[in-house]
Amino acid sequence: MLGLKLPRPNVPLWVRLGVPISMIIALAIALISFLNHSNYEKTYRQLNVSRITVVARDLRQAIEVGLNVGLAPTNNTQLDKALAAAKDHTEGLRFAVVIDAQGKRLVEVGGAAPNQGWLKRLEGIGEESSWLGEDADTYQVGLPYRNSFGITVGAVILGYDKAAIDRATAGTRLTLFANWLAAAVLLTVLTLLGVWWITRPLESELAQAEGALADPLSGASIPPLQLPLLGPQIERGISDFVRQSHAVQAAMAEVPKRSQ
Amino acid sequence: MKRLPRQLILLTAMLLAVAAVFVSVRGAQHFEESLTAQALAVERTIARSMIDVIQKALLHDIPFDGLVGAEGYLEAVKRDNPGIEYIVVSDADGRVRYSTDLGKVADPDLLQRSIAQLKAEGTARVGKYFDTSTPIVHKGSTVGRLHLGERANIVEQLLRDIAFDIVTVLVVATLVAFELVRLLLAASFSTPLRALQDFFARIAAGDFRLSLGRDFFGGIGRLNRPLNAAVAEINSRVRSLTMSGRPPPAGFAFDTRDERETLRVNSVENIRWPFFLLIFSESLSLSFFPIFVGQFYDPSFGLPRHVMIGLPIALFMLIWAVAMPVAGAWCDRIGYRRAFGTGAAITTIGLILTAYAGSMLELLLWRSLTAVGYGIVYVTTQTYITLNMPTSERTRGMALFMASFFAGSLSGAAIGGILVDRLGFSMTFLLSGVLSATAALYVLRFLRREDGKLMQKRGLGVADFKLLLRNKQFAVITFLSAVPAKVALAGFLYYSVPLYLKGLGHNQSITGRVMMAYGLAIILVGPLVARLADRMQGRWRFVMVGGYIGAIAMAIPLFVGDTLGAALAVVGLGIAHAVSVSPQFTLIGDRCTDAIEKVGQATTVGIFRLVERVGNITGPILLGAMIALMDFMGAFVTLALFTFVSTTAFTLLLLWFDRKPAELKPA
Amino acid sequence: MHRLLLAIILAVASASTALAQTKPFKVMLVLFRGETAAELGFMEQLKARVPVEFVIRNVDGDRAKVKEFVNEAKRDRPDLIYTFGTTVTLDTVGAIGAVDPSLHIVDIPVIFNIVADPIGAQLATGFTATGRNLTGVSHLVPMADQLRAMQRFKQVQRLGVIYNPYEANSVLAVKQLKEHAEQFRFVLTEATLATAPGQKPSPQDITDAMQRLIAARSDFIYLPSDSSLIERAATIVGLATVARIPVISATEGPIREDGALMGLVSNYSNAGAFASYKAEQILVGKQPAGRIPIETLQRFALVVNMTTAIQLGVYPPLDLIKIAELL
Repeated sequence: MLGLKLPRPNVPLWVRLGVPISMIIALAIALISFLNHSNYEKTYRQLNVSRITVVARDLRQAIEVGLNVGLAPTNNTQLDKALAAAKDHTEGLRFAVVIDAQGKRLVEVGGAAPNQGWLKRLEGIGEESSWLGEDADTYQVGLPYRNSFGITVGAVILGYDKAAIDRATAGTRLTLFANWLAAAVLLTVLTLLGVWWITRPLESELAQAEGALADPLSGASIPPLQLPLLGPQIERGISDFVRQSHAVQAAMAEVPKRSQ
Repeated sequence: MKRLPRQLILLTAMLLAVAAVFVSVRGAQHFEESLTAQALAVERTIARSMIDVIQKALLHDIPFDGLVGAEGYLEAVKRDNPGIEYIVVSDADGRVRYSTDLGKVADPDLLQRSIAQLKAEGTARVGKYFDTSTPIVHKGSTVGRLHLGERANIVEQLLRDIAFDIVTVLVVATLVAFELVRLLLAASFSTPLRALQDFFARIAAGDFRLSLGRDFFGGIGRLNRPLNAAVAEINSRVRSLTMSGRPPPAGFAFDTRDERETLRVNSVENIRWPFFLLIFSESLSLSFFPIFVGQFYDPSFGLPRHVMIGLPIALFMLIWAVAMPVAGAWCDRIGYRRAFGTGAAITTIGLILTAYAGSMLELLLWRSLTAVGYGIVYVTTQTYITLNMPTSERTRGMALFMASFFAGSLSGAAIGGILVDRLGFSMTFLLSGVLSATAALYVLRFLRREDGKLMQKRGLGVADFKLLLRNKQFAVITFLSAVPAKVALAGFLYYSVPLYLKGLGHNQSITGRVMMAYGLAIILVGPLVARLADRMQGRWRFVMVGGYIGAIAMAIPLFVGDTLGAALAVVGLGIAHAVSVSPQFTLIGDRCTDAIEKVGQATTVGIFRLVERVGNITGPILLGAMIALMDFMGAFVTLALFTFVSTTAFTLLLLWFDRKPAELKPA
Repeated sequence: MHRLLLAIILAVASASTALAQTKPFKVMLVLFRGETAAELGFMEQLKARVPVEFVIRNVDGDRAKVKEFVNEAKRDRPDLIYTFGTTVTLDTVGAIGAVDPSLHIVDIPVIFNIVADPIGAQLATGFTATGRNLTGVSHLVPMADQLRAMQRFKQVQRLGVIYNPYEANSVLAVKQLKEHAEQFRFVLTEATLATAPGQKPSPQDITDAMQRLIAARSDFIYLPSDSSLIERAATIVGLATVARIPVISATEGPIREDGALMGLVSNYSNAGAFASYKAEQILVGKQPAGRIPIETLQRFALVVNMTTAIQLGVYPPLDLIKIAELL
């Protein structure tokens, strides 16, 4: 599989071992970088959600305080002021919309696109205290509000800029990739170096063995082999092989003499 | 020759660790800046919210010095926002007027002095904190300042939160990397070495018939070429000799018909790593499978939601278990290369179809298919390892098998969880399919073809079951050791521990971590102990010791309460099984030889594993009943006692079987 | 949460009923002193959701007229009757154990509103379903909540209450204050007005009562939801302020108009909306009135008179400033 594509054994051992090993480590490091980025992205988004939720909670409180004294969101001047202030002071906030239990928009600042499907989110909220959503341009946080006898009668939805956040996290992706690349290059060099160093003794032994087996049929005797890594079995085996080859040659050379 | 691979693995480990640290630290440095900016933006928003309240009070002519309940308000905000370390309101001259409890703040004097000096709006570094300062304005002039303090090492804290995830990935990456490196090294060194040794032995005996295989790895296999060249030359000379009517030299064997048969040595690695890959690919879906199934919930079946979700999982387990003896018999007939290949292919098809499943029914069908393939592969791999490792290393082989299984399982589950967030369900299943297809292809290409060891059988029969189960040794080992171990595994580890931990108030991730400890124990301890077991006589002793360790482990929660007790118990059980499960299997090989001969190796494996599964199935039910009757502690103690008793019975019976026949009295 | 669901079900049901039902529901209102914010809230909310026709009958302070309207209801058979206040409600449905079908309505659902103490008035045994053709909304703010709010302003060890022993609301307030005295660790001083039953208290009566509370060095003075006292709120608060004692009022008026420091009050129109919600359950949801529990509102308004606060140097705490109605 791996080997099918490799060229004929002219490529030295340390490369053949070193390259796959460094590829494996590079893959593992890529996975770790991926995980780090993933977590970073999650945290970045979560911090923004937290920030916008602070503002949303204050707006919800303004709505509910109004309801306490019988002011609907449409008649609540304090709420209007709060919405305007939120829009001015909250970085990245694109819109804030108050809807009623039928999904109708009661008060809004900024420009929210139509057909957001908020009613569905409000109805499906279950036990959660808020929902998170998005559309093409914005990420959104939706908080339901209740009237003075505990019925949920609407929600306030804040939408904040999507592009800025996505840009930030994408930028990190590039940097992490560059880091990974640097690490991969560095470790390839180190791996190759290390593998070369480690396999050097074996290389020299293999060279020795190959030398001994260069021409086993020539009849020449081979020098005694010193192959501590390959082991005495191989040492013996090689000299056995040469010996047997000589024996066969000799036997074949004899035969015509005998048959005469 | 063992030293070189070890040195290479050490090199890999070191480089992996260094590179991981490098990448993480560099990453953290980069994150720091942008995450800090975001966190401070949150602080500013909170500050703004508080300023509104204070300014409303001032607007209604409440004096700045007379803000009632200010400390309480500051404390409440601090409580609701755990990132905030202190909140201070200073007057126009910079003196602290109201604040949260500064007792835990590092260096409060520095803080007080800095606040006196911080006149600008914005964020400044104050000792260990970032201080965000906002002016309190009343009637056009600044009457004071609000200071919010947050720890400066935000990223460090965030990293600490995800530290476990990082460690998980490191562990998984290490496992995967080592499996691959081990394969590489085996192909480069140990396998060609064994081939050479085998080859030289034959040559020494005069056998020139076989040549060595082609080498692609450039390691020791490099010697194959000159050797093969020499052998080929000799054989051709002999052939030309015989063709001219003369007899070949006596005392040797030659390749007279130019068949060029290759000497192949089976490497267990050749099946271990495709097996790992297959288990890994199948396990990708482990972490999200219940959620995936939830999508297909169909009330028209008339079953409650939880039962419906459990159905595909239960069905998978059942078919997997049942497939094994059948697969075993089949494997004995057609050989393991084809069996594994087919099994992997079936799994691949099953996984790909699951990716496109459209309904509950389809899901059940495709999962069943996958389970069949899974069972085939499981049995085949075990059998292969058993047949291809010398008896003196068989236990180690089993332990390595179990280690591969758990490694694949753990790694797959962890990585699957990460991938599915990015790729979605279908893509992840498709990826699983691709990986298992790779495993299939590798086996079909690289595993040795069969040679005549196949059995002429007619498939699995009841007779096979009867034969094995009637064998006393088989029965004792299976029912008094293997089944109780599986009862403990499924009943204690998979069923009770998660419930127990949930009852203590923990969430999914803590439970997942505790369960991982079991797998890690098997992976790390198993092979080590198995090596010992192979070297020592009396494998049954290991099974006994493992049994007792397990009994003690499950009683630990009685003495050490809470999560720690559960974790220790799980680790203990992991060690217990690491010690006993592999020798268990080899014990059967040792002691039931005649039965195995009649029934077939793979069939035995299949039947053994199936009966074991009885423990898997009854475990949760038994434990459920025990917990209902006696609550957790009682159930654990009962299970521990049960294990103790069965282990003792096992030991006694085995000793009884081994007793020497009574001395014949001299006449 | 199930309430949201219920609201939505009702919305759908009312829409479909509206389609199915061309004839509007007939709701009769029996009022004590004309349309208050409660009725307006009730009618506005109900009209928006259900086709309805209102028939308004006002006794205008004359209790005897209730009988007349009861008979009218028996003749005209409206789908629902709304009653304002304890007196009207008692005369419409009768106290427990004293229900007389010839005098009272027993087979038309009745919703009461603005009844301070339905239990004390013997309309029900508790804040639960009554089992008979009666449900309603109490506008009472639980005493514990009021006292808790009061304690946030100032530590109160001595609480004084001025009350009219012949007025049900006064008596109820004093009873509840006594019940909570131990929990909130204050000593209660009661200043009973020496007024004859049925008569309105004179300025002298009030001054005497207040002097007693001032002499007892009260930290705070409680002004109950008693119309006879509320009429004299200016005097009461004036005397207290001179003595630098803050006043907590159970109703909004004295805070807004007469300078009482603070109070945790119900909003009448919210009570009306709540009554309308229950009306919907009866008319559209077809629930029997006896199965719908009597309830109070869950959220109230904290009203604070800042002028008084500055005068007395007693300020609302910061966390309450967020949600308080500062006048």
